[in-house]
Amino acid sequence: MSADSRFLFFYLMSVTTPIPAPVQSAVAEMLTELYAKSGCEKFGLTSEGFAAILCNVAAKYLPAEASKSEARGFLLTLRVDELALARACAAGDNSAWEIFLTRYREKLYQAALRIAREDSAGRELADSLYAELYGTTTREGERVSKLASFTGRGSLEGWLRTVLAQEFVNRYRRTKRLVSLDEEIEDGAQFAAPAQASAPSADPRLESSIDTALAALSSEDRLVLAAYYLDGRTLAEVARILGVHESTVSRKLDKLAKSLRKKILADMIRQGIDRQQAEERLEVDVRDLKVNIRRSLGQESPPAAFLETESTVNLQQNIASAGQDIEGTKV
Amino acid sequence: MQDVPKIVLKRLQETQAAGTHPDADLLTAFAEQSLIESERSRVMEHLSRCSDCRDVVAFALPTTEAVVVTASNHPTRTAWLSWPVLRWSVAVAGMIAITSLGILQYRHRQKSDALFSALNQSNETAATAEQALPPSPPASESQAEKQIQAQVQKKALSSQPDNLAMDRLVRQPNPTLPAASTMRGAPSRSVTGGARVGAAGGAAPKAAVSSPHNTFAAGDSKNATPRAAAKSAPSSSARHALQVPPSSEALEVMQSDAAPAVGSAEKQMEQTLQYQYSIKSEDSKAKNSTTTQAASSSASAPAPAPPNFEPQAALGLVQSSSPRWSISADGALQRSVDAGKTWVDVNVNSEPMSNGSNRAVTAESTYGHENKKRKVETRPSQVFRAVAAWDSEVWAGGSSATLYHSADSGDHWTRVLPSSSGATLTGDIISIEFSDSQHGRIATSSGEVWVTTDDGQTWRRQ
Repeated sequence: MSADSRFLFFYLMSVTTPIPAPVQSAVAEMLTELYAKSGCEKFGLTSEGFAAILCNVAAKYLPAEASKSEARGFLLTLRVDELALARACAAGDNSAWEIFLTRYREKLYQAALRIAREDSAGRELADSLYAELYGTTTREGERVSKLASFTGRGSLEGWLRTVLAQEFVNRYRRTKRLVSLDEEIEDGAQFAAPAQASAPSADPRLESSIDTALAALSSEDRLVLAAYYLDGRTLAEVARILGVHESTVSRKLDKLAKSLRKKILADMIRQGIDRQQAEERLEVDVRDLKVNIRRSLGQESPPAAFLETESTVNLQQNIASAGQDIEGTKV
Repeated sequence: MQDVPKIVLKRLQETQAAGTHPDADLLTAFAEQSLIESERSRVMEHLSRCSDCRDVVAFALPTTEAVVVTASNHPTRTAWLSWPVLRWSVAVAGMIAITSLGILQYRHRQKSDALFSALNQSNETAATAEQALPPSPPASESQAEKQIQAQVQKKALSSQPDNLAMDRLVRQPNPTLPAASTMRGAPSRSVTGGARVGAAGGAAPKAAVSSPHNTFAAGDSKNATPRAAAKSAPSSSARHALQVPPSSEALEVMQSDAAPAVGSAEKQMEQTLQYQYSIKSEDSKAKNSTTTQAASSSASAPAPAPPNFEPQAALGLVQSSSPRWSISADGALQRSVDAGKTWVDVNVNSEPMSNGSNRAVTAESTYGHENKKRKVETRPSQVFRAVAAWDSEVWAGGSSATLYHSADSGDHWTRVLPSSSGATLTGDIISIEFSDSQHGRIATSSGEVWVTTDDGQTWRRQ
């Protein structure tokens, strides 16, 4: 690599995205090693191009004030081989695509099937992602592949699954949630509204106590609580999300439930509520939680186009019920 | 697990995520635990507030780990001990037990078969032989013609020429013999009583009862024991039967057989007398009584014995391993190759048999009696009344002058029609007796008596 070209390369990089100097130097130092490791040559990827990719990735994730050694450590964690493959695919290299297809095509469909839990939906999900990966979408007459956004932070396979999951959550889960809410409404949950008016949950002292207690928790504890109680994940799933053993999650949940209750009660007593009253108020009606779900859904982005007419009706209903709730809480 | 108050969960849910969602790379790296600490805590914070991203991470979990987790949740060990599995294993264990039981039984039977043949060969004691008594053929009650067969085979020891059978036949009671005196004291004086002596064997010299033929004869009687046979048989008709068929000549033959044995002590004669009595209880036809005689070759086992030789010495005189013969209650010719344990019908018409094996008497070999009955039904005209065997020479006779001869223990049969000077044997053959392979005599229901002295080549009417 000539000095001129290197200069030109860094110049170009600095123009598109500002690359911190420590990152630039770290990439420059490790480029030869990483380039050999990535096997970019097979896909016709030049070292200059690869260096640009690395710089972009590092600049994206590393804080601006990151030192050179931090940048080196970061670069070492990258999966440069898969990064090279994905980027080569994005660039339209046939041999890279061949490798990609043999490695990931089947896994892609299997993962989609598992996520969607239904054959046709899973196939459709995978197909839509496939189109995105191949780059059917054009921007300014250019084909842009979704693989170009892969940065090698995790494995390519895991990334593909995550992308599928994101797509699924965006497209399918919301519609399902709407359907299930419709069913709830039909079941008469909506007509339980009068009872809400008498719900004594609107004690600001209680809410502040709860918020204080929750805020005191670590993000991991909140994640465990939310995944288990709100999302309905199993202990095993939560454990795998966090990369810990199932029994650890179980113990943590048990401890959290106890300590939360104790902390909230203590806080309420501190605020001048006697213990029995505090305990009663803690056991507030279940419906509030459902109402809350409904309201938060109403605030979400509009669902898929084919559900437009239905969803607008639902939205109106949701907004209406949310308004009732707000009134109820005010009362 | 203690539940978290709903109101707490509600507040937890209401804490919405701030900022943008982490991209797919970060979420993937988070799930794969490959984020650096600062990044991880950032993503964790977001996940704790964003249900969508939590869902994404949960959906994106790899399948392989799911399998591992599932496996750890449900260990295969417990699956093996679960009831559905145990239920089948119980059934399998039962089947195995039944199968092994069957195999054991089969082996045991084979072993006992071998034991019986060994008994034949080695001349077991009378007690042993008695244990080997075969089950008697079933009595068919419905049969109009009730036949009681009592076959008595005795070894006439040279030192005891006046054994019981001889004693009865020649009416020369010898009071010195305990066996004879016992018999004389018996309530039944019929010849079937002789069978009792032969089989009872306790008082009689062992030699008299040691022969397998003897046990065969006893076992072949209609009832379970010779004693019972003696009881059930009307003594009068039995006596009558005794008086009629054995002619003086037959007695002479027997005596002549015994006499030289007495004279020359070094030559032991083992004489087997088979008496077969077929008694028609209905019409008291004494003529039905047949007496067959099958004696083993006296020369087959000559043992140098003193004039007053021990009874055990007679045990050395081994009965040949030739099959035993019998007539069933319904007139079928039967053969046993396993010392009377099992009996197989012999079809003289289907002879010659394809192979010469003793065992392959008939293709319809069977242990049961059903086959026997079916066989009788197929040839009702052929009813055997008497059979006599001397070594491999077998003579069988029955209704309508039916007389068959086999020179190879029943594998091949030829029909014989005794005739002399224009006259032929008529009537039912009720008795066949052979003192040796050459000399024999036949009695018929019409009162005729035919004798041969050359193994049935020529016959002479008396």
